[in-house]
Parts: sequence; structure tokens; C-alpha cells
Amino acid sequence: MSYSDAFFEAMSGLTTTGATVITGLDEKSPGILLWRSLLQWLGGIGIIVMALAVMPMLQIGGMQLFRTESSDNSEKIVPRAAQLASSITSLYVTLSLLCVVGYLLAGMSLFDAIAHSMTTIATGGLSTHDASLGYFKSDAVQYVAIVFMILGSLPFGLYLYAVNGRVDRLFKDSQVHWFFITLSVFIFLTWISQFGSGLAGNNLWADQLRDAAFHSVSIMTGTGYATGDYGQWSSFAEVLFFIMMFVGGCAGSASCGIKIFRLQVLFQTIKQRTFSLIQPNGIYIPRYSGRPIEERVSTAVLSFIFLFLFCFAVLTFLLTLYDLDLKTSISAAASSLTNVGPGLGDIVGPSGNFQNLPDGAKWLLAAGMLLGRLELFTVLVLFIPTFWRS
Amino acid sequence: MIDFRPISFVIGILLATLGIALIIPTLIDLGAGNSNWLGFAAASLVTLFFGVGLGFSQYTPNPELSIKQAFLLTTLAWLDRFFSSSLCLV
Repeated sequence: MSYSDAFFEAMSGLTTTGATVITGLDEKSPGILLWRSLLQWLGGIGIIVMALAVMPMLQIGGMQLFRTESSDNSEKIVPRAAQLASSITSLYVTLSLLCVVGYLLAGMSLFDAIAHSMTTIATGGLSTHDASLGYFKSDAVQYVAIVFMILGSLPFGLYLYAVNGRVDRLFKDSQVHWFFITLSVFIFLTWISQFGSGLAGNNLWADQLRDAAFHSVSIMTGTGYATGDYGQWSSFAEVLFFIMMFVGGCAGSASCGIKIFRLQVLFQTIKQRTFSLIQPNGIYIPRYSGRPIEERVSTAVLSFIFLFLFCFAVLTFLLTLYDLDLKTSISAAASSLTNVGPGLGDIVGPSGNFQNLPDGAKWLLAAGMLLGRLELFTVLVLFIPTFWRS
Repeated sequence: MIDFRPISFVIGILLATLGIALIIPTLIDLGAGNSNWLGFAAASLVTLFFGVGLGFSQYTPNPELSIKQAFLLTTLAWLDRFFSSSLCLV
């Protein structure tokens, strides 16, 4: 493997993206396969600890919303991260073990079960087979994957509360509510999108619903498993999957993308603006989880979303310079920024492989993955000259 | 000027963890009789060497970070792991 390829693979692993440049996975050594899964697993827990301990302190993209809730207002980042890391690790390991058991019961071999559980819980999406989860041709495997992909994209901070006997917080959280509402809408739409496409061997509505649920969860949470080329369903489905990439899971989880709470803040802000158009003197306070959203938070969220789309546009533009077609460039850019994995089309789609991209494009995509994973601002501040002045 | 000591210290710890994690695929490939284990073993040694080296040489008791240091640490911590974890895949 060339160094570009190796770097791309490692980046795709640690950022829990799940795009791969390796073909012939089924014949690769077990060590390599396990290492790829392990990378995603470590990346997943790294991102959770970062999202819970570091991001709120750095106030990135409105993450300060989660600061008062779970911290004692201390500015001590390292001890807090270390303390969180230990409690999160035991939780993470437990969830992974449950996932292993689930996959074993669904009929996977022990090795496949371990390797896939690591990439499922981290919402990574690397597989030990070229055909991804489609290799197993098993409904049970799809169901297990759906459950644990969702578990991997709920806020881990709430799990900590749940372990301490506050299970109710998990059910009362507005971000969790909206995560499931959004997900249900997307599942329903992708389900309809299959009608009339006449896919062979998948004509039962129940099968179509399961496939819709599996792929919607896989793409929205940024995992990127596939059991077939969903791009073939219909062009409506393609657009749906493209939009879903950006949504992402909840903040404080292993999933990626813009994240649900930012969309909530976005809609609340838009609602407020519209309201004040009709009643310029009326007072409408945007709220998140019952608490008023500070002006600073909504500005941070809006600028995050703007910057996200801006980076997406720039990345797409740069990719087209490598003579890639529009669908490939657009979906690869989106899929790397949002850490999903597969894009759309023949080259980077679920049935394609990133192997065929030019080296330059691979480096660009790798940079996109890092930017998206670290929530843009963390990386971008380093390029501001003032950062380096004392 | 930004003080790099606590940053390098934390990165050292993270690298060492990665080096230890690399032992797992080494053992698995060794057990499976696959020649790849040499690559993993080498990558593990290099990562452990730099990790432990950084950790000890930059040791800071009770590391505390300013906002700037935290930004730098987050990005660097991820970047260095990319480089070292890609070693064994080459």
C-alpha cells in the first residue's frame, strides 16, 4: 500500500468515517482487519471524551450549551477528561460487549462479531468484508446493527446519568426526542422512495422497510454500513441519503455531521426571526430543552453551520479540479466532512471504493475528515496568526 | 509563546496507549501465522518509543491547559495518531 493510501485508511479509521481504499478485504490478514476496527473503536471513544470534556470548554459551535449541565464550572480540562475517560470507557466497553453478543446471536463468527461491534458502536462503518454487512445476508444482523448504531449516536453524557439511576433524563432529553423524530421521518421517506423501483428479491414491504431503516440509520448516524447500493433505489433516495449525511446524531456521541442540537437551535432562531418580522416589538425567546438560548450560542451555531457548508463547497470545488464528476465530488466531500464513509455514484458509492481516486483527492478527503471530526473551528483557529502571538 | 510541555506530555500518553493497542493485531497475526505481524510489531515499537519518550521527558505533574493549549492539543493529538497508526498499514 502506498503511504497516501495508508494515511487515508488510518484517517478514515480514527475519524470513524469508514471509507476504505482496500479491496479484497475478505483475504486480508486478521491482524489488519482487526486493526482497522480497533482504530475506529479508539477514535470513537476519543471523540466522545473530546465532545464531553474538551469541546464545551472551547465553546465550539454552541457546545457551551452542554457546559453548565455536566461540569462544576472548573476550567481544569485534563483531570476532567481523564476522569470522564475512565467512566466512559467502562460504559463503552459494556455496550461493545453487548453488541458482540448481539452479532453472535445473529450468526456471525466470533472474529466478525468483535470487529463489527467495534465499528458499530463507534458509528464507524469499516467492515471485514468487501460487501460490508451485505456479506451476511441476514436480517438479524441488520437489526442488531440498527440498535447499536442508534445507541452509539445518543449522548453518552446521558448514559452516565442513566447508570447513576437517572434513566429518566435519557427519555426527557429534547435532543434525543428530535433525533428519533428526524430519523423516523427519514426512514419513512426512504421507504417510500423504494416503491416502484422494482428491486429484485426485495419486494415485500416489510423487507423494504427494514432496508430503509437500516440504511437511514447507517447514513444519518455517520456509520456507513450498506447491504446493497442504495443509490440504485431511485434518484429521490439518492437526494435523501445526501441530505441525511449532514444531519448526524446527537452531540456528545460518536456520530458526526452537523448534529441534532444545532438544527434545533437553528430552527428556534429562524422561528424567532420570522416572528419578529410580523411583530417587531413582540418578545419571543428561543429555547433549547426549556432553557432560553443565549445570543452567543445561537451565533456560534449559525456560524458553525455556515462554515460547515462553506468547507463543503470548497472541498467539492477542489475535488472537481482532479477531474472527478459532479456527483462523485459533491458526495465524497459531504461524506468525508460528515464522517459518513460511502458517498454516491459508481466511484465512491457503497459499491465502489476510494482506491480509484487520485492521490491528491485522497489527501483532500483526509483533511476534510479531520476538519469535520474536530468540528472545524478546532483546526481552523490554528491558522489564525493571533493564535500564535502571546 | 505557547508552552508545549503539557501538550507533549498528554500526546505522549496517548501515543503510548496506541502503541499498546498495536500489540493486539501483532499477536493475532502472529497467531495466524501471517507475516504482517512484523509490520505491526515495528509500528508498535516506534509508537511506544516516542510515546513513552515524550511522556517521560515532558512530564508535568497536574497538567493544566489554557484555551490556546487545549486547541493545539486537540488537533495535534489527532494528527499524530493518524501518522503513527498509518505506519503499520504501509
